[in-house]
Amino acid sequence: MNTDTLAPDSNLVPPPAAKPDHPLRETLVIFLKNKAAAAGMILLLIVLVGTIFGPALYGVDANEMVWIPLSPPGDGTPLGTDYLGRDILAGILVGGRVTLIVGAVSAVMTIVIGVVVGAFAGFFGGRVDAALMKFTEFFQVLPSLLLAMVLVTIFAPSLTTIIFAIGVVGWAQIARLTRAEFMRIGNLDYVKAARAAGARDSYLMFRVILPGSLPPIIVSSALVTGASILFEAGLSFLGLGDPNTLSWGLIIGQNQNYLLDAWWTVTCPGMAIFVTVLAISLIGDGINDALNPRARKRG
Amino acid sequence: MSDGNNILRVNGLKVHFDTGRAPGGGRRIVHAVDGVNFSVKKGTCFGIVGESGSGKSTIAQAIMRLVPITEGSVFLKNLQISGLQGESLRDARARFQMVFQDPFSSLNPRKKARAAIREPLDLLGIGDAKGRDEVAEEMLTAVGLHRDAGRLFPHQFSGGQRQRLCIARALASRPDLIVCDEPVSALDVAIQAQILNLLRKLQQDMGLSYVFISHDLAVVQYICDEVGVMYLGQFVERAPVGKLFAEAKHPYTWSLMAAALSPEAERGALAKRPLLGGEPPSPTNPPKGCRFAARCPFATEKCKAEPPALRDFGGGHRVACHFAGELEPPIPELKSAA
Repeated sequence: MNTDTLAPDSNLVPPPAAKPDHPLRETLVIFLKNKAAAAGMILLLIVLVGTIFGPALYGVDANEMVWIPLSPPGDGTPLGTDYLGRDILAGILVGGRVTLIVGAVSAVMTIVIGVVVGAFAGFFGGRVDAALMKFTEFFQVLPSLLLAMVLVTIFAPSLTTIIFAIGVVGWAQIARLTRAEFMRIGNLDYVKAARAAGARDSYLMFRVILPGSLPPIIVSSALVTGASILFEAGLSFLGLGDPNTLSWGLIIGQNQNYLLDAWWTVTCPGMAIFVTVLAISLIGDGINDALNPRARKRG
Repeated sequence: MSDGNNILRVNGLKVHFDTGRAPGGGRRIVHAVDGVNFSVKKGTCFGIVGESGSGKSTIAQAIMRLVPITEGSVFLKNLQISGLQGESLRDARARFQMVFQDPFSSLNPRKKARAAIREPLDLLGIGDAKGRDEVAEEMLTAVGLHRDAGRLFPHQFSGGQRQRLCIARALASRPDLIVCDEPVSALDVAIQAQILNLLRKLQQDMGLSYVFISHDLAVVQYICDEVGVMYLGQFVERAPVGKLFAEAKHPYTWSLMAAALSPEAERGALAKRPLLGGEPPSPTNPPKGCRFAARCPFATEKCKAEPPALRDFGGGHRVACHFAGELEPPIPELKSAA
């Protein structure tokens, strides 16, 4: 090997002293340029502002009989009244709080259980993996709505029970995804390098591998949040929600018998659910596009 | 072998991987490394060459305790690193570090260069925060990078610069031994020379010892003091570098040399070179005789039945071939030297 002609130690100067270019910055820019994601953000913002400040601004008690039952929109109330003469708009504004809180909390629960189970299975492999995956499969093969209904029926419907039921039935998919990501990244050299540098298992799992596997987990978290909201609505519709707290699903459930005579009682809260889930899905897709390098190149 | 001058001693190292049930009952065991002995003197470089799948990277990972050791022992000075577990293993890691083959996958893309170099110090609790930053800058300078390069992310460096970064990281905890697993094979030839020169310079400046794994004989010849040639999990020949390149005695070493010799020689000679065809046998079920017998042009019945031992030919030259010293090397360059 002829090395005489080469400078042994060129003092390599770093690229121009611009601001350190963080990979996250690029991702954020791509996300913000995505029109569908921006629309999703705006819709979600409207929903959030509406449910947080709406009830106070609108000033109508959602549980009061304020007008003639089943009167159509525009005839005294903006979105009509239900079979007891309660204002639908007030119900949507107040009910959104419960729906969003249940959706968000149970999504967090789903994600935490899923990520922890998946992380341990993917990191340790072997018997730990086999045992955890059998456990996961057990939850995957149960019909989730049925399991949630059974849980809610056994433990009396309350917000806590509903959140718990949704959290318990939905984590399997996240666990599988996390496991796959941990197995992929766990084999990369930089994980071995960290171990050779003296990293403990906990450091490798949560400081080295987890940050690398976050992109797909974030994307599916968005989808899980949407699904949790739908799930809550479904349970309430079936009469398994907490009857004392108003939610979108509950309004639809209580008025289902009047669907043909008073479409607004069911359609308006239904639209609220639709818009919220759509917004979250759009945001999830936007994050996916921003994080996926192959989609990035296509521009 | 019990020379006090030795930094590293590897005795009867075996690494077997269980890959599940074999079709005919029993387990399918891959004999990745199957009984390897060597030692590395302080301040020297021990090279391991061999083709893909010969188990050379597995040796590196076994020394680094990144794969479980099936049998045998590894000593770093007087410390048996093959027996350490848990926290005691972690504490010992400051003393032996590794440089990986691919500088693109061996750096965490989310860590800035300074954090990457500091990581071993942070993890092992060496020094205080300020001291660690100073060490990081010192190491950056030592490997020929700008001291301000620490604030950049790995993707802002070129391949050669990244490998310098990996070396700086390996140096940070002031180890006695650095295991280099093909540190230059992912780089351009011009950059390879720079990195090799850097490794040499660091070796002189810091009194480092290397285990250097490569498939490139030229690289090994340039940087190593002693070389072991691996085939299917075992050494077939081991010698000081000068002796190996002057009077190699194993047919497998000849074939590696024939493949590596520069094509500037007569074109006609190329066709006569003893280049090997075919693939090595499966390490799942290694042949019971000489492992090289199936591809060896000189193989006899004895070779197929009886595994050859590493025989000493004087001056630290050991060859595992029944007919070593009796065979005529088919390479003119070696013939003239013999």
